[in-house]
Amino acid sequence: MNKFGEKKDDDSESNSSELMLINLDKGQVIQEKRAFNETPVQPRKCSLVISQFLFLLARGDSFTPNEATDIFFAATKLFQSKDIPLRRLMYLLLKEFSTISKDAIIVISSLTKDVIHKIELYRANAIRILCKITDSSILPQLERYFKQAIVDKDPHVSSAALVSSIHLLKVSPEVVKRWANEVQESISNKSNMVQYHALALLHRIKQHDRLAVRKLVNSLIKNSVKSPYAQAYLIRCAVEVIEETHTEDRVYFEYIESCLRSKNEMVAYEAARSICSLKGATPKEITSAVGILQMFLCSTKSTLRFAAVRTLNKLAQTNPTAVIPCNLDMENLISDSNRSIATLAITTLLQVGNESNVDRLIKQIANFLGDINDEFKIVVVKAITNLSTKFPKKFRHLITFLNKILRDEGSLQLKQSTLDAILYVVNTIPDSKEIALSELCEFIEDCEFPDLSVQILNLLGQEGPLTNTPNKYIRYIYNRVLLDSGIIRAAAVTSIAKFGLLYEPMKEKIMILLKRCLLDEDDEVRDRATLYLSLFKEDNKRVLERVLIDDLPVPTQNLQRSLEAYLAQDDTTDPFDIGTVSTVLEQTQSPTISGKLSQTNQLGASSSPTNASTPGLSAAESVNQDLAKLAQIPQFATYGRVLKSTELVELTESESEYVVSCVKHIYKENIVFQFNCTNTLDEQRLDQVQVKMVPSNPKSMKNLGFMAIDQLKCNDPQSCYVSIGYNIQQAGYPIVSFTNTLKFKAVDVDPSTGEADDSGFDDQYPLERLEIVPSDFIQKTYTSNFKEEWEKLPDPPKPTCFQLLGVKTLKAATQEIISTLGMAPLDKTEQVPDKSQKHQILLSGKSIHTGTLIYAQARIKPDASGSNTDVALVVKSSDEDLIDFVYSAFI
Amino acid sequence: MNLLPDIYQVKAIIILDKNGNRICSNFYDLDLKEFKTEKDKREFEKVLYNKSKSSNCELELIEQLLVVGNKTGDIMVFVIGLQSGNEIALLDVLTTVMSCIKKICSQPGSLTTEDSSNVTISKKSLLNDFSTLKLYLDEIISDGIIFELEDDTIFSRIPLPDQTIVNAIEMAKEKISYFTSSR
Repeated sequence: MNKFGEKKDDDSESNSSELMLINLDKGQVIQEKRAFNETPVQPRKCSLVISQFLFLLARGDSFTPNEATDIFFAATKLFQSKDIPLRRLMYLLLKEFSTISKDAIIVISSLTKDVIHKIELYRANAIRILCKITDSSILPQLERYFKQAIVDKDPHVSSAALVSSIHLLKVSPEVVKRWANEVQESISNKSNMVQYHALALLHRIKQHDRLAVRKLVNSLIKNSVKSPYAQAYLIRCAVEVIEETHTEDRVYFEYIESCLRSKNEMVAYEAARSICSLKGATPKEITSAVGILQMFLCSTKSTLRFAAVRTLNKLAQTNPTAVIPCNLDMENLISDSNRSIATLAITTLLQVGNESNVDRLIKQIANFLGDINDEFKIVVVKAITNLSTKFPKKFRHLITFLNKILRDEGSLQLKQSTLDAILYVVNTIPDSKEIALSELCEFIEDCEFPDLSVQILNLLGQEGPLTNTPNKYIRYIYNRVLLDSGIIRAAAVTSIAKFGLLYEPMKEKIMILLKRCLLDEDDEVRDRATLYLSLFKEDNKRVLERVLIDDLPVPTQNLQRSLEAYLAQDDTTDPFDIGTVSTVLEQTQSPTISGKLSQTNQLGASSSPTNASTPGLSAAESVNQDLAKLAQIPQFATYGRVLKSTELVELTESESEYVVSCVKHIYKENIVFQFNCTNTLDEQRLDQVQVKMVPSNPKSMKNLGFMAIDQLKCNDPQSCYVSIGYNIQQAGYPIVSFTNTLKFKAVDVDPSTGEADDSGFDDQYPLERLEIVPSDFIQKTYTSNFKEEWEKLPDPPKPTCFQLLGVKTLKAATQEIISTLGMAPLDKTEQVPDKSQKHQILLSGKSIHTGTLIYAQARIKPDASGSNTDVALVVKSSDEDLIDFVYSAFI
Repeated sequence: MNLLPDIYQVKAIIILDKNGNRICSNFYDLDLKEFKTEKDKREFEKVLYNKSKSSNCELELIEQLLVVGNKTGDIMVFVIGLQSGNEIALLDVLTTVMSCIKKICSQPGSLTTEDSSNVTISKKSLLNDFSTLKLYLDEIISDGIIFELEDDTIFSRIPLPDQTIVNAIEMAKEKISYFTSSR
């Protein structure tokens, strides 16, 4: 019971009243509540009991619903007391217990009496409890009390009513929306807080109606709201308007800029950080915002210094030059007594730094590394990693520094980020390889995290044999086999085998080492050693390469998911085909070497967990849902099996009134276009929604029909379908594009009641074009020996040459070619090495109809002007039609 | 992304003693993973305490949270918000909480000096007048929304009992003898 019991020994000076609270017994206090029943009520006694209840709650004691109900009901007796301090305490007690107690509704009549009581304190507090115990069925009866309280002249009452209404928006938004006029009236209340609460509530009431929000913001920025909190809120509203509407109107920017000059630091800071975060801010605005932040940097309040440097740090990521004026002030902050501020100052300086002062900065950070926590160390690690791209010559310092962090005490998360950083440096600066590898060898000698050891062993096996002195790594790796746990030993065995494969002179020695592993107690280690050894004995290089070097052609998560889906289906007579696994990596969670650093999840970046997780569900799962829906539609049942479903294509801007995206489902002789439609207007309902598609080349296909959506309500996405027929034997592949229009009957709806106006009108909405592309008919396949397969097929007369207009970089061109052809890139040719002048992409795939293999080789280089890319494409296959179709995509 | 300006700015107010034990903690957003259960809350207090042991605990970043704090007397006070929030607003809240705590500790009868310019902040005084502390916090924040920050307004909204506090203490003493004898 007495969780705090031990504490009393340390506090020798603790007096008796403290002890009394600490040793409070719940059962006893519940007994004490009988004081509430005494007549006349004794305020002193009751106050003490309430105070004890509050302490129990604060201490974390839990009450059962029955206990809470008893206490709640006992406390309602105190409504009879006229002692104001006791009443205030009673309100707090009722509020605290209202959420645990049953039947709290019973006090509503007492509360409604207090809501119109002449004492303000009663009115304000009664309304704050009311909002806790009402639900949407009772609220309409209480409406008039709320409306009256909102316009109450007393700020306490008005604020209480407004804040309660904000809470009630979660319970019963429809009712609260009806109070907009009263809320509007209270915005002009003289009290700062009432203004703030009124503005926030009004904005929330209108939040789904963009035009109304804009009007509200427009009128308020002209009327110069005086309350600082309301100003700060209004700034955020203005930011919202700018970001949502992409307005050209500078009036919002002007308002925010004017707030920079506010005497209130919070408002000035809100304005400054808003400007720094807005893409459309002019250099002049940014300069004045940075000026304000610069003043904060020298403030005596550490919170202000922190706020300023945090914002500058974020700004430096996108606009380093804007931060330069503050360099001197930030240098002073390096010695700030608050380590958080110092870290942010340094990382900001690193981002804007130049080659000459990098060494000095790194030294300075190393000095206080021991004082900062892991989260900040991760920030430092990321900043350091970015430096490697900027100042590749400094790799020696960077690697030494990163390695120091890796060796020091730290969480797995920190060490993983550090290791990722080292891998990144090794990948971008080849010169750093040897020093990094030998540092890592030392590290695995006493690494406490198996995960990291495995990754490092993997890297050693991959890179070690290619260095000048492969011999020196073997000792470290073999030590792991002798000293570590099973999973690490297995990784070490694989790593050793790679040396044997990639560095011929060591092969014999490697075989001796592998032999020694044959009697390992761990199955996995033994299996691996046995397999490698027998392959070495056969000298079967090709299989060894496949086993040791070739990566899995698809991301492992995707493979796992596909395998699970395969096993879950009833019919497993068809063998599993790895070609059906999506190669699109949905989330970059795996510790892959490259690409990791593009996610600048820097300190301060507001990474709200909700928006990070939603896109994660994508691709595979949504495709499965689509297919399940499709299977239920009788019209399409005769088409047979879906051969392929394409990736989702957006046909509208994601912020438009109607959002439409399309998935193509390819059948043997049909294509079904599935249009996912969302209506974002709450005052409109769309009836008979369908997409009209006009083909550019009507002959190559026949239109078979469509399925419309009966009723499309606001924010309730549904799909309509169009199906077409094609026949490759008769008309060839359908080389065609479509002009699309969304057609519907718009019916006005009252958003508050949901009632529809009978008279609708026909309307339409233009959509983006859609094309049939080769990737729709080609499935990815993987071959480990492209060259051999390529040679087998007859040579085409000569490569087909064309230009990708407006594609400036080799990377973009590579992406475009791969996605248009829908074939699998081989030998990592999807990665364009930095700074290369030309590139060759190797691709393989097969027809979804016949399974005929198709290979392609594309050479790309920028044209003379630098704004387009020249492509020479060779496609080989035994299917001539397919070859023509692939070429047709570009010409 | 939800761009809606956040009005639920304050996620928690936590007051700990110098050993990291809770004096009074108000958690406003129970959806946050840090505050889901009593165990999570205690855990968070521990993290907070450990982080601020060595520093002056003015500022901390813990996962997605931003903490502004103050160490005075034998207590530590923390105001917690989201990292995307405005730290100066949190500082304003902290300032108000501090002046309420000062007010409690400077009341006659709170067993400390009555010189208002030099108030000794102590856990003792806070626990002595625990209900007033809860009432002040209730007037500052309403379920995470900043309700009022003007300290004089807040003081005027919490009426003090007519009877002198000394009487209350007498009353408390009676209770103590009651508790200790019953144990």
